[in-house]
Parts: sequence; C-alpha cells; structure tokens
Amino acid sequence: MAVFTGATGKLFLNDTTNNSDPGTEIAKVQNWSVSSSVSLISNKTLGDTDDTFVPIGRSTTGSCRILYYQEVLGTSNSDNSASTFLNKVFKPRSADSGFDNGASLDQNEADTDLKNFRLRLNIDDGTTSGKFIDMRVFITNISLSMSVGDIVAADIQFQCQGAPVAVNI
Amino acid sequence: MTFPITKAGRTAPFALGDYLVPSARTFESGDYPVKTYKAQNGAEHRILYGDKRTNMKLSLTYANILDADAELFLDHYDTVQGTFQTFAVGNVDGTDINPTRGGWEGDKDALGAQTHGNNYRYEGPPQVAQVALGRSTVTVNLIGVL
Repeated sequence: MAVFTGATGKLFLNDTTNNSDPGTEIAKVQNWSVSSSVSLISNKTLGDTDDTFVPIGRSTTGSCRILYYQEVLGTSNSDNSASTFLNKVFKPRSADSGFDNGASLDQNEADTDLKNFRLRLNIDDGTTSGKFIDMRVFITNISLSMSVGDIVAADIQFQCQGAPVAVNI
Repeated sequence: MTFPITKAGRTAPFALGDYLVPSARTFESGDYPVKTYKAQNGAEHRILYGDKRTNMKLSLTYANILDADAELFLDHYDTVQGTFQTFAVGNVDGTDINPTRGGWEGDKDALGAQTHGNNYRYEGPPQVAQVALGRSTVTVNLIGVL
C-alpha cells in the first residue's frame, strides 16, 4: 500500500490555450486543497417519510498557499512564484482612467475569450503525469501577508469555471 | 386525457414510483349554496338553494418534477380547453389509489368533489417554474363546480 504525503504534491499553472500542456510547475507551494460540493433539490412528496433528492449542480473550489520569493535578491520575481498569481488580481489604474476604472479584470491576458487560467493539482505517483485534477479557474480571493518571524506567502482561493478540464485521480 | 396522476412514459401495471404525487396540497371544502339576508332588526335569514356542496378549491404543488411530467399538466390544460371543461381527479385505473391525495390518511371522500356531484375545472392556468435543468415546479389550482 502506498500513501502520499505533501512531498508528492505539485501545482502547475497554464496561462496558454494549450490544454495538452500541464503548464509551469509552481515552485514553492506550501499546500493546496480542492473541494467539490453538489447542490440537491428535494423531490419528496406527500406521504413520504424520508427525504429524497435530485442532484442539480456542482461547484468546485480550492485554495493554495504559495511562497513569495526571488531566485536572486533584487531581481525579477520568477514566473513560478506567488508573484504570478498576485499580478492576475493586483493591477494598477491606467494613466488615462479614473481611480474607479482600473486595469482589466481578466485573469489571463493571453486568453481574452476565457479570461481565466488553468491549474493542475498534481500528486506525483511516479508515473509520467501522475494523478491530477485539471481545471480552469478564477481567483476569488488572494492575500499576501507579512509578519515578523514568518515567511511571506500568498493565500489564494479559486473557483473552478465549469467542470474540470481533466481528471485522473 | 385524464388529469395527470402518473408520470410521463409509464404504463400499467404501475408501481409506487410511477405516480405523480404532489409535494404540497391545500383544500378548501367549499360551501352549500346559501343566500343570507339581514333584516332591519339585525336578524339573519338564510335560504338554502341546493342540497349539494360546491366551490371546493384544490391547490396542488408538484415540486422539482421532471419537465416531461410538468408538460402533462400543460397538455391537460389544453385538452380541457383551459378553464372551460370539467374533469374528474380520479384513481389509477383498476385501483383505489388516488395520487393527488397522497399522504392523506383520512376518509378519501373528504378531499373529493365527486362525492357531492361536483367535478373539477381549472381555476387558472397551471404555473410552471423552472428550478433546474430538466426540473420544474408546477402549481395547479382547481375548483369544484356542479
């Protein structure tokens, strides 16, 4: 029997429209989690004693925590650090726009149709692609926190757009 | 076409899951045709004009049923020409099962209109609310008439 620990976890981000590419592996992931909830409606009728339901919808959300770092101090942030996620949400206002009309809300400038990006939550089981859940997501909340005695990291919550792209879990 | 009491596509012999049972029901028992007069001294005089109770109101809600089943009510409403024709809310053929009275453990006649010589007609068009893909909630309001 093989069990998995956090050491086998990986997170990939894909900003392109190429669904066959797992994307760039995010380097310093402290944790990720994913959960899916199913909406039910009751179809209980008069005379029934116990509740019965029909599933009508599904919602998948997740979260991850990624370290904010630089490969060499004073240089640009790597594209596989928390900076990549932060820049999808934190955007400055443009010079000719007002304070209430800033930059685009798109979270994927390379794919203006979908506006979201792809995440692969991966478990390395020794095979080529491992076990994974691939999904297109929007970041719904991101926070960067700094405190004395702690490493700077970004906490990210995301919402899956539609059904996952691929699942092999 | 009779009032829908079995689900779309189901054929006899019917099983328990084939019946269209409402998820909520209200029933008003109507009244006898009584005319009330008030004299100048305050005394009330009532004249009974008939021996049959009428004007029962039966409201049935079928929550979250399949669209195909919801369509049965729309089709039936059309078949009886809307609020024009009357019809019986009857039993399943060959049985004494009346799905519209599902859950009622009292005397079956108490909720009926036929006992008093009435038949039902639609009080208004069925209301269909789409609640999910392929699922709708239907409310029908019936009134008993002689």
